[in-house]
Amino acid sequence: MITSVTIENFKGVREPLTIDLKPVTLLFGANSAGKSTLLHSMLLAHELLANGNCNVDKTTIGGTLVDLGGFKEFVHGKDTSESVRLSFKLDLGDVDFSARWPLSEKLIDFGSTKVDARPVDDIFDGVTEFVLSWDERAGAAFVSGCEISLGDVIFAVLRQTGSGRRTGSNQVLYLNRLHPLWTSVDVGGDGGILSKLWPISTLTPEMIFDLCSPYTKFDLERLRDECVEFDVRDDFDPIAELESAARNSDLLGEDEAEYGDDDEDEDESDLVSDGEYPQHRIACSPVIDELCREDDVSFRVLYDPVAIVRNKLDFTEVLPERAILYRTTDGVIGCAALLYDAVHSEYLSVDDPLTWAESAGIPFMTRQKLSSREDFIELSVVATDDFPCLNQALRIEPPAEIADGEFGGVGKFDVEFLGQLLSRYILVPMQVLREELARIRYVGPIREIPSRGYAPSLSPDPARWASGLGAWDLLHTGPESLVAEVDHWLRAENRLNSKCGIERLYSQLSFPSAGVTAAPVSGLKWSARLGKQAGAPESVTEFRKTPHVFVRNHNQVLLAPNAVGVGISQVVPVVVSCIDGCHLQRGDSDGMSGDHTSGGVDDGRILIFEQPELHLHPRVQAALGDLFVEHAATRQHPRRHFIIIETHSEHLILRLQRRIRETEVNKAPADGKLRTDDLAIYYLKQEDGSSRALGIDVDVKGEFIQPWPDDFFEIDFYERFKTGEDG
Amino acid sequence: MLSEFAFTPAIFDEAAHDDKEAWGEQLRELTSAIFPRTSVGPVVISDLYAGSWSQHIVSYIEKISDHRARKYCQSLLTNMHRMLVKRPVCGVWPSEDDAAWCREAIATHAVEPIDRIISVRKTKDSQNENFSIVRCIDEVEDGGFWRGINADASPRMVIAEQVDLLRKLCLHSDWIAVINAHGFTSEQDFSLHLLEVAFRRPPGFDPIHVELHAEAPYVSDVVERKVRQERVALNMARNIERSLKAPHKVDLCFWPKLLDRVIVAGNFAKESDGTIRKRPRWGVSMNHVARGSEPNIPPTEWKLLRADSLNDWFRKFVAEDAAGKSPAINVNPRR
Repeated sequence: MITSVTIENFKGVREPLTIDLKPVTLLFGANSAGKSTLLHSMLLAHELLANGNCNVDKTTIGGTLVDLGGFKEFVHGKDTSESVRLSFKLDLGDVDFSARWPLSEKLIDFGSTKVDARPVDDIFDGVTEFVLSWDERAGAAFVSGCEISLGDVIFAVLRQTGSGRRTGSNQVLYLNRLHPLWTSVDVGGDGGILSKLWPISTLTPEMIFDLCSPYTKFDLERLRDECVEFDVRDDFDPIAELESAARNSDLLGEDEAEYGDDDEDEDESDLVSDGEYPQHRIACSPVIDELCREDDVSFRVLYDPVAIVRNKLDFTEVLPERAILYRTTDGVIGCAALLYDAVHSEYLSVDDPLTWAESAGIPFMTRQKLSSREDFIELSVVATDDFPCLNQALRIEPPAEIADGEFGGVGKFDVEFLGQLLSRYILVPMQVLREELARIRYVGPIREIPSRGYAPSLSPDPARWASGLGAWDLLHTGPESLVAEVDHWLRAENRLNSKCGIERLYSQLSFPSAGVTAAPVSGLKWSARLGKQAGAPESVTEFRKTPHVFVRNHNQVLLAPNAVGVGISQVVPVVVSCIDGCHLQRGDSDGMSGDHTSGGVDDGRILIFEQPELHLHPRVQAALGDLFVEHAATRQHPRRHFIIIETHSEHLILRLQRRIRETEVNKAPADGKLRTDDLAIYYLKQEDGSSRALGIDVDVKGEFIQPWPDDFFEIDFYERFKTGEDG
Repeated sequence: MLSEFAFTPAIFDEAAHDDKEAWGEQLRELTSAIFPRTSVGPVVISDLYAGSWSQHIVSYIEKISDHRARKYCQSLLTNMHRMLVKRPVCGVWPSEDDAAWCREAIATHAVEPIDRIISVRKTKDSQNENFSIVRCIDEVEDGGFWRGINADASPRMVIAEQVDLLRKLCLHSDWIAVINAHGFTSEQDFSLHLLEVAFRRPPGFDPIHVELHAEAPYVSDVVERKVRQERVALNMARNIERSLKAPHKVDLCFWPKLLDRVIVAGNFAKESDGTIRKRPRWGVSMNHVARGSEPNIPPTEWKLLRADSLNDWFRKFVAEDAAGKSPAINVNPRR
């Protein structure tokens, strides 16, 4: 699922503009503020990934309603020396990397050792960013860069220097060697496989520490004194032990001699001998030795907590003094640290300093810009086509500094394996993004009214939804339950209450069967259901049954869609889009039941609506809020739609505020529950030549938390009360 | 700066106004001044009886038969809603007794001043009541009614006068952020006096959380800079501890560079998952603050912030996700 979109240098957006997507996302703002621009960027990204098209004018999803005009038009300021950036944050928690990109073996022979290439299972989110640029020489747009972040850290950056079909390599891959995926080490129970990705089993401790210390290099002595890792009993209390150590020793300017010489410490003799450290072992501090004397000692370097605080860029009023990394007997990994607060002159016990550091705003290996080349491994990619090609593994050329196929002195460098491995973590997120973008259903601001001679399209065409005709197609060809549900939503008093409904009937042309000579044509017969009509002669062959969708007005007259008010034709595509893909079962008292999904489960999309409130009575505009709430991917129905709405309707937002208020006091309708974290509101405005998005949050009372800019919802008040120069 | 108005329900009672035309004009005049379009509204509205007043008013408005007047009052109440400030309960529930509402307003005014208590002539002239401080809705058309009601101020360079101007803002806020480059150093006295004013809260008013933001001392040497900052923070904390009592809270925040003097203040709002968020409501831009008592120095200029500016300052310095915001240093009450 796409959870966030960031665009830069696209149309009116110069500075990075970010929108977090919630089950219901509203975009408000003055005209030409950039609302549609954000939506169109998603259509552009779809074109890029699905069709490899960088110089986009018309889009598959936007049809004739969206014309981006090509790169020269949609780059900000029409300045082709600038690049357009599109960035999407993805929820990858449900993505099975292994299934999507299987490798031939789980354990890969990698020279002298085996590498555990089983995928990591703790990638919960990631960011995929594309940079589109203009190749003046080739006169074409191309993807000049693609950046993949897993978690909050850049994993890899792919750069392409020019456009055009190429043979050989003009693509360069920069791997962030400091990404936690590379540096996390998991000691297997049998001690055999250590690295999730790299064959670290044969690396020396110095190399381990080097990888784990991204900003400062730690010598072994320092780490030995400050960071201990061992297995402990389940009732081990690291905080208590740390505090005890603090009370019992002077931790500032501590003298190592206080703990005695290493060589004399019998408990350490098994661990350290003659200054050489066995693989994977770190000496214990004698304070901790008291606790673990009876325990088996094993070592696991997870991360260096000292590095956390050292990464802090601002003020270091707290300093780490002691840290313990530990693993309980049931395998829980933990870290505790004792920090010194210089301001208050006291020690602060922190359980899980990583979380503490994050909450204190101290970045741990935060997302880096490609400014420090030394942190990245540069690899050439053998490319035969413009990037991105998501279904072929990356072909890597080994780095120049690797001699004779050796890499870091660790066995033979397997180029193909590396390419497959990298492809899994670089291309799979892009595949996920492509699939998500393909699920967008865009309904444009002006919906077409089916003409009198309208014939539905039988083939799915996303572009028809942009004009609204896709909804009429589905009403003609979709399941009966869908039509019934749309009818219910239009007519019911506790729904849109539009006084109009939808009904589908069938015309049937009757022809005599072959071999029988008879006068042709018995005329059109209407039937509500497909099937042979009672009383029809056996010899009649049903030639054609054609569905027709009518609007039944308040006088129960069946009318063609173009014969009713425009409002109905404008709202029907919105209603159909929301209902399609949602498994709804209503009680018998409503008379509605049925499943118009496949498989009886919700199959949500990303729905984009521009101005769904057009031509609608204010009361109906408010009721649209309930339509969105009921069909959005809230906690009640997590697999329903993510709905993005560009709107000017105050009535719509008032209804959403009301439902939040009612939900808080348990007075919301059963299907009308909305929480504050289900709703995102953005106000877009033009400022200093660029669009800016201001998030407006709502509290449990349905009140805005931030002030609404530009008296946006006070227009009617001022129009009512002001005269003359008052404004 | 901020002025507080209290209204009795009769303002919205159709039966209390014989001249409907005049009533409409008075409402129009009132809203024009309270909700200026092109400048900042300087008025907050007392939500008397612990916030029950605003709910009680709804029933009056619903009963208005004149559709134009009803529409006026509905819109007025809708917009008043964002200006409401709660006042604790002082007496018995006034119900439909407008004079009782007057008494309630006067009682809470005695605890903390209200700038205008406004009712109707019938209530003000009630027998056996001393409503001399109560104003009538028909006075809103007099220029004198609005004297002193202004979003802008020109305080003298006297600490006591300046912090007094901020009393209303402090009283009705759950949190305040004081952003002042010199707030811990040469203008520390202003900060400390403001804290004392903020902490002085009558029963029924929630405790306050104050953030003091100041510029970090600049020294080129990194180590020395850290030492100096610690010293400044320690000094400030010791001074604050003298007046700080639980459950009030004070945090100190350092910034690399500050140029302005701004106060941002507001209340707390809750989200569905229980998260408490800060909601900005008011802001004051202060050209200068006093460093002592210097009445002979020309007065300075202070202004209430418009919504856009308030938003910007809030997002830049106070919001939970403000970029570059270093961890706050909590000041603990002295035990």
